[in-house]
Amino acid sequence: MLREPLLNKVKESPEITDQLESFPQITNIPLRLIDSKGKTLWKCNFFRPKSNFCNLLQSNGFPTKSCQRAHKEAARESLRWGEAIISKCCYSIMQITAPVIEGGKLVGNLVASPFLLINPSELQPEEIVSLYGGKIERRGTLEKALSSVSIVKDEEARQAAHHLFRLADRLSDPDLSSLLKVREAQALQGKIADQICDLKNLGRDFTPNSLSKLFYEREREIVAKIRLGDKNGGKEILYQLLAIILVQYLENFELLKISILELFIILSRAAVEARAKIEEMLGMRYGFVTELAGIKDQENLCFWVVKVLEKLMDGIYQTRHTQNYQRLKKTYDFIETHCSDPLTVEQIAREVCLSPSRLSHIIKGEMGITLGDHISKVRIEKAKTLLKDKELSISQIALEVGFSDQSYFTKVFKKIEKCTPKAFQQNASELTV
Amino acid sequence: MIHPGGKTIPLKPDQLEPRGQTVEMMLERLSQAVVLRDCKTVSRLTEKMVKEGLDLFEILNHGLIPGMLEASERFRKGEFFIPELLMSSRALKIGIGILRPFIQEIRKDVLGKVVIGTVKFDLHDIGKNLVIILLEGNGFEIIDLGVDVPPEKFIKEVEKNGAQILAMSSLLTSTMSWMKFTIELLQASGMHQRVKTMVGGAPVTPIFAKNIGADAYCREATSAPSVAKKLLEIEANAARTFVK
Repeated sequence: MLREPLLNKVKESPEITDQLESFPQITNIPLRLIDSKGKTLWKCNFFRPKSNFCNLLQSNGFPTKSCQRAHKEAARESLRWGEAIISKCCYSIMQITAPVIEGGKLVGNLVASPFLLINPSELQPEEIVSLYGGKIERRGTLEKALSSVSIVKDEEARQAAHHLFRLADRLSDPDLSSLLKVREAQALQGKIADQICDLKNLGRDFTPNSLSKLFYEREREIVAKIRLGDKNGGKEILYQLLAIILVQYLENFELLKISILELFIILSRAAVEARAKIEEMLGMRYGFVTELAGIKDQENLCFWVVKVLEKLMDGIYQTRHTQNYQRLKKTYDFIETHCSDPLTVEQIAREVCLSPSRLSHIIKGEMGITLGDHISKVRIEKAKTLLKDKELSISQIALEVGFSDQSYFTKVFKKIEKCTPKAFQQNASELTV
Repeated sequence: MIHPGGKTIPLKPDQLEPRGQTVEMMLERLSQAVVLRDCKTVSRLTEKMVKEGLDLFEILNHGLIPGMLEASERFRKGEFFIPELLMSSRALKIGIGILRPFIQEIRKDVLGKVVIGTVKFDLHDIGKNLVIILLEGNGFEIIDLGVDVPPEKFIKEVEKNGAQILAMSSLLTSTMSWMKFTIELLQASGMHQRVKTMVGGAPVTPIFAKNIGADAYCREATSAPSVAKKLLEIEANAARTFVK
């Protein structure tokens, strides 16, 4: 007899039983808990007692063996991708599988099946033939069985998959957060692949020269994003930077690691400039470098640098007044979207429900610069992107980013960038040639 | 028809069959039907176009395939999820099922044998399946090894089937080096003289392909047939190409 702690867990906790039992009611899909060998430990399809698709087929001569293989394959995939997997079961009907883990080992699966994404009447003749395996005497049984299967819309199937993953998370010990990390790392790899694909679509020739130019461009952009505290914008550019690095050094891990280290230094310097607390930063940096030394593969290297960026950006905002953080973020988002309009302190203060003087005080205290300075910075960053487009004149750009006249724009630009807009434009066009 | 996906808006019959529609419009409609997972429209339009004597490869390359490409692009962007993708590929398969007997009739000679698979630790296979459909349509015989294929299996199947081309795809930077290992193993086995290799996938670049010693790089699924023909030095006019 098998040891079945998994089953006991379900039986002993009314809360878990309740949640499992509610799944078929919400989704209309029967639910089973199977162990790693494929044996059913627990099932629930009481909402429709006659629905017993598999039993009906199997008692009428349909093969049973491949069922376990389909579950095993789905479980393997769900472990690899870190999410519930929607796939076809051995009878080509849909199933959703989520893994249950105990102490890092797969002990069972939650399987929601069967369901159909389309009405059985819409099945093509050849699809039906493949379902009953070409044996015509089975056709009647199949049609009877199919009529008992619920039809689930694709969006509902997706939600059911999310739901099932959460249930599996409850049953697992420790929970599936390690799988979430897998999912995150996979998603990151996907994003980097997308960026490389975009690089190819841009028609970039992958010469070291053109790549390093592009890298330099993106590097300046990411520094600007960190200074402005734009976490998501920063991440987007980081994916592009990683894509450029990987295109060059994928086959040489040592060079790859050095490039990532360089990138790390750029990021942490920018964070210091953005007033992250220096003492904390030093400790953090030391920890990061130690971590980096232990990384042995490309996937973890990319994952690490994205996490570093997140932590650095969090570090910038780590303040004792967490409520201020929300207001700061709101202020920044508002300025980011409205910087082309003539902004006043009063207007922004109204938007974040503070008095103008209080808002100015908070900004100065947290970020060390005045609100006006910050608005100028955002505007100049916008202007820099526009300046790369040679079609626009300087005066047009000045108006576009919210300056009322060109001479004031030039003055502010010079103060921040230490060069005139014209010089910047010329410089930028030389870089992109 | 209201599709179980719930997103297809039912069209009135006269909207479906406007009078005097051009071939381009019909192809566009067909590819949209694949995206919208509307199998009935796919089969009806495909049958209609075959009946009207339209070029079979035109229907495949400019109707069905672009629809699937759009669906996979939406999947990439996170607008489509697995269920939608499964239903789109079902629609595609139904369309191809209608074309297949006609294609087999006109193309009896096999241009070459291709062993194809997605490399180890890579489970993506949308692009690979499209390449298979296109190569088959253009007269190649395909031995599909599926996903997550280790180098040894590639080599074994190439030898067993006497294939002329070994095609590999990878969609993650972390799995790309398995292409390199496979090619190295092919070279070690001494078969690289008579077996050509082609590689592709979103993160694969021409430079990478060259560095790992692949014979050809395939930028997108639709260019696979012409690349394969070039590898086997089959003259372009002897075999018809419909690649954009």
